[in-house]
Amino acid sequence: MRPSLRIALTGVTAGALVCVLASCSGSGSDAAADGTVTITVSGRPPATNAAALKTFDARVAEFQKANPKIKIKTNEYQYDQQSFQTKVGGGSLETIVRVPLTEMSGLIKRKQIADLTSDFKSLKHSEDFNDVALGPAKGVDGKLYGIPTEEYALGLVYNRDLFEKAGLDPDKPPTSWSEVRSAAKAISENTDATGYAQMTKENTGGWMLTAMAYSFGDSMQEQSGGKWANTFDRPGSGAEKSLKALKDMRWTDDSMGKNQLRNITDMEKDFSAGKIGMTIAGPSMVGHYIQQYKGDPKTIGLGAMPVDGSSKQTLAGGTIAVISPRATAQQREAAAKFIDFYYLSTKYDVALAAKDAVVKKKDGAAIGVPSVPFYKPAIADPVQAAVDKEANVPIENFAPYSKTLGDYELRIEPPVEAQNVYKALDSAVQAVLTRQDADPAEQLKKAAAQVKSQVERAQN
Amino acid sequence: MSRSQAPAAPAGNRTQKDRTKKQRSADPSADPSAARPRTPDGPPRTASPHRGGPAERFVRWVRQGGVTTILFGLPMVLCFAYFSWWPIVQSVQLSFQQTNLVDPATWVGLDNFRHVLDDPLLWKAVQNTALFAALALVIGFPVPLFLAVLIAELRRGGTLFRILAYLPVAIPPVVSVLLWKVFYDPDAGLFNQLLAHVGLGPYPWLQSTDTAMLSIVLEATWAGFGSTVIIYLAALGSVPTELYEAAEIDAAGIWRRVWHITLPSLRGVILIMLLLQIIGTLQIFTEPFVMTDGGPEDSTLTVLMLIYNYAFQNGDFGAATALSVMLALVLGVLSAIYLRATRSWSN
Repeated sequence: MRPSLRIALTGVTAGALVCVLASCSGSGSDAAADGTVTITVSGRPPATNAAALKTFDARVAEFQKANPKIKIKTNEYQYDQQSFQTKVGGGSLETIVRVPLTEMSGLIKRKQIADLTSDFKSLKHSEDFNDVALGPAKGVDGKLYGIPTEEYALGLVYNRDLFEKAGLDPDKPPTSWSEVRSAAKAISENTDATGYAQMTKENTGGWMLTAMAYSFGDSMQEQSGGKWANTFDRPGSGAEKSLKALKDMRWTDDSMGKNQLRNITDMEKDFSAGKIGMTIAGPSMVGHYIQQYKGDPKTIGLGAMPVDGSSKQTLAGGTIAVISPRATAQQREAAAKFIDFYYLSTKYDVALAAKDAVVKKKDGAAIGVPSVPFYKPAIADPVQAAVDKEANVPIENFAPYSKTLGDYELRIEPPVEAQNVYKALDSAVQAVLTRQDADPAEQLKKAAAQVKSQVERAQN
Repeated sequence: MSRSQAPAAPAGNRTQKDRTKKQRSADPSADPSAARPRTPDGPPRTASPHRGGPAERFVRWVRQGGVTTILFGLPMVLCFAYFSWWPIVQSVQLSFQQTNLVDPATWVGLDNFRHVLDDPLLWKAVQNTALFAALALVIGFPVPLFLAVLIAELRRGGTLFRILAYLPVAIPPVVSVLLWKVFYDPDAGLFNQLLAHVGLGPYPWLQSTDTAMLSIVLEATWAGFGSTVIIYLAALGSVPTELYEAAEIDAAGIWRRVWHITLPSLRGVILIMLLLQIIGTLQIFTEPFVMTDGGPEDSTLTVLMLIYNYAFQNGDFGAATALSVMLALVLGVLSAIYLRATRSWSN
């Protein structure tokens, strides 16, 4: 090869590379000259779920037809902590992402999601949301950073078959922690399954302990002099009572099995395999049991959160649609419109709700799994009745949950640094379940000391 | 032994390198100035005396292909600069800043470092990481060496055993970790079932603060030793057979041959593998992350997991990079001390 040709080729290679690198940092505009605005919607069903994908695409097309100036791009992205941070950092976060309710406080604190206070007011029935549903979407500044799309309250998920085998009445699940304890003992003694199991990993240990503490009528953090502080380590707290209850079941009754390191997926798998009699979870576990794990709907039951105390409290959860902090005002407006159309209209429009249930049923979804309405009863009740008419799962199995839900006070998670509090409490729960000599009070003190400075710093 | 330890290319051992260096300096024709770029279609250019002014020298340099060399290397340098070196610079910068990845970062001085050093979990993570490294050294380091020597000594079936030894490496890390997680299941796991046949167990494996780290080390050893075995085997192939023949004539048995010929010949590679293992094990992440999430009771929480938690759980990239910088410094210092301490032995 002649030297000049070599030089030319090398130069072209280098030049091309520089162009490629330069193009990496380029960005396009989302607003066209004719006023068309483009937004990206995550959460499109994967191609493997052809029926759901078809329904999704049809709804998006319907929206596009009604809103020709809004261009919708869709993708399959689902929220997870790691990729969300990467997307925020790289500037590639979708305009609309749905996040678990438990993530909101961190996202709000870090200002990684857009302020939707004014856009929320443009939604139909914005005045009819209940306060509990909106609670986690509000920052300490009183502004609103998300729009609820699903809400649930934790309850007792149980295996009806195992109940029968253990000589228990599957229509009357335990309603107190002492009843849970005796039922767990009966199941572990009379079957090969674990009587009661609890999630312990990836912050779920703290999450579940918080739910238990609420069910003992206590809170995890309290406000004094305008500042929040952890209270879960004070003597006789709900968290301490919860850990003692778990310790008794694990070591005195031996009704919790030996595997004590489970996240939510591990729990769903083991429960669906019939290895677990009871656990605390949301109704979504019922849906996953039926759809994902192909469990027989007749064998799963859902009861109310067991309570020991004068007041009935349970932890509420759900998903909230948030909008990218880099979205323009036009994009935020368009996104709010899409959220209202796609996620909310079926929650306030009776006809649409019934139609949606029929379509989803055709797609193989479980219809009739309870959820917590986030609109006030005047709007939510007729919608729920219309959906229940289309139920393809035995809704009577969930009656112990849905019929008593109104008696419960729904509580949101600890307001300050909830995820870090949960992380520290994971260790406390794991200690009690893996070490017979672990002292609940001591473990709670250790966890409180670990997150004290974080909770204080978050409020400075 | 760990997969976190990069399976290094079997670079020549230090002894060999030093020998080559000495030969070069003894041989006048191997003067570094003679190392001119080769043209693809011709022999190496001969060394030419440095004469003339700067312009003349520049023209000569261009004629001899200097520009081509730079342009040829440029894409690679740009790639490295953009994807490898620039992120390192940015990381160091970020360790002195606070950012939410949306607004411009603000400088906070040493706050991130103070925050990390005040975290009670840091010392727990450091202890756990050191424990992992120590256990990996005791359990994981001798295994591949022993196996490599054993395979090399085999008269038949060497290839088969090489394949068998390498097989676990072919399994994607997360898959093998999940597989072992199932094996470790305290209720119905394979290990407890097997041990029950001989009247042992059940053992809690990952469910106890006493055994969780050891269980992770066992998995990591199984998953990673194949790469190291292959490297040792490659090094063993370069041991002169005459030495073994001479030893056999002297009626040396297998253990004497291993002790007096094999191990001394592998000394350079063993040292490098030890260094890589120390650096690798101090960066252990996948196994505890997938198997235990640092539990039970933070007994398997490692420094890298803490970095991950800072970054992706707390969204505190300042603290995450501050701890990363500290870890990199410690690893750098460790490597320097290690190399200095072992240089004389190596020679």
